[in-house]
Amino acid sequence: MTPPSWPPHWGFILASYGLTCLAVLLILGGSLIRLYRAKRRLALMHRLYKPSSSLD
Amino acid sequence: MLAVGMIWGLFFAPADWQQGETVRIMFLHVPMAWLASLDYALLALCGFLYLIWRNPLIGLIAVEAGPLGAMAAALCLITGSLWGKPSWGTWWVWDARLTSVLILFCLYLGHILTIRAFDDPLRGQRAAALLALAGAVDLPIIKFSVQWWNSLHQPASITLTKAPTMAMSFFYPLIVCTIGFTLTGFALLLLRLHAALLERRAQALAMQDPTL
Repeated sequence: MTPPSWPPHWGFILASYGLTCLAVLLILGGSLIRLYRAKRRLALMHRLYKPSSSLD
Repeated sequence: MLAVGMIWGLFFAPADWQQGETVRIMFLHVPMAWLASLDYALLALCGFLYLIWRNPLIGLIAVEAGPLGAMAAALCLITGSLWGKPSWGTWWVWDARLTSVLILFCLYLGHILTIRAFDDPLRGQRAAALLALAGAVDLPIIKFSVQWWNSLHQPASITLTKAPTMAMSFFYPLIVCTIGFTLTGFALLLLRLHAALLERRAQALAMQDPTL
């Protein structure tokens, strides 16, 4: 069986690799942003919580 | 490791005598299929353990593993479609293997949506654990579908009991890519778990002091 000459095979290959890299980078970037935000929120909570607890 | 495997597969692995250059898609498609199945096995195991012990950490692992598995299953279907068009002449057939992987993707979506569908997150996690456990029946169907039914999809080239039926020039980059994607998936899961635990700690602090 000979694969058809059109569409070009490298298009399929590069689309596969591009899409996979994009998906991995997006999920990695999203997770890193989420981690950064969670760290900032936690630091803010610690800062806000300390003065209020010292009033008790 | 992932970068080495992908560059090896894309530039240095030889072209196949029958499929030509399109065989390079295998170095993505097979690891994605493996990762999607492995992730679902983890999801089912977490579901089982969660139903017994109701441990919140186990529930959290299931919550964070779901989207990663859904991504792997989606990429497995898309790369398979992109491989199928030049090899088989079609993007999609309702073949047993392809359909069972599509069902796996739907199970992942169902799991993600079930967790978020309830006002009480614990009830959502319980329902999702039941769904994950019931959906585990799809894993052996995916594995043996090419043996049980007449399928356009090729049978497994790598098994634990026999030597691989593919040339070593394909086998080595495939193994490197598979290990690379597995480690990347595991690292992403740990990263998401770390973020989720910090979010919960911040939420617990906020609830502890209602003035905040």
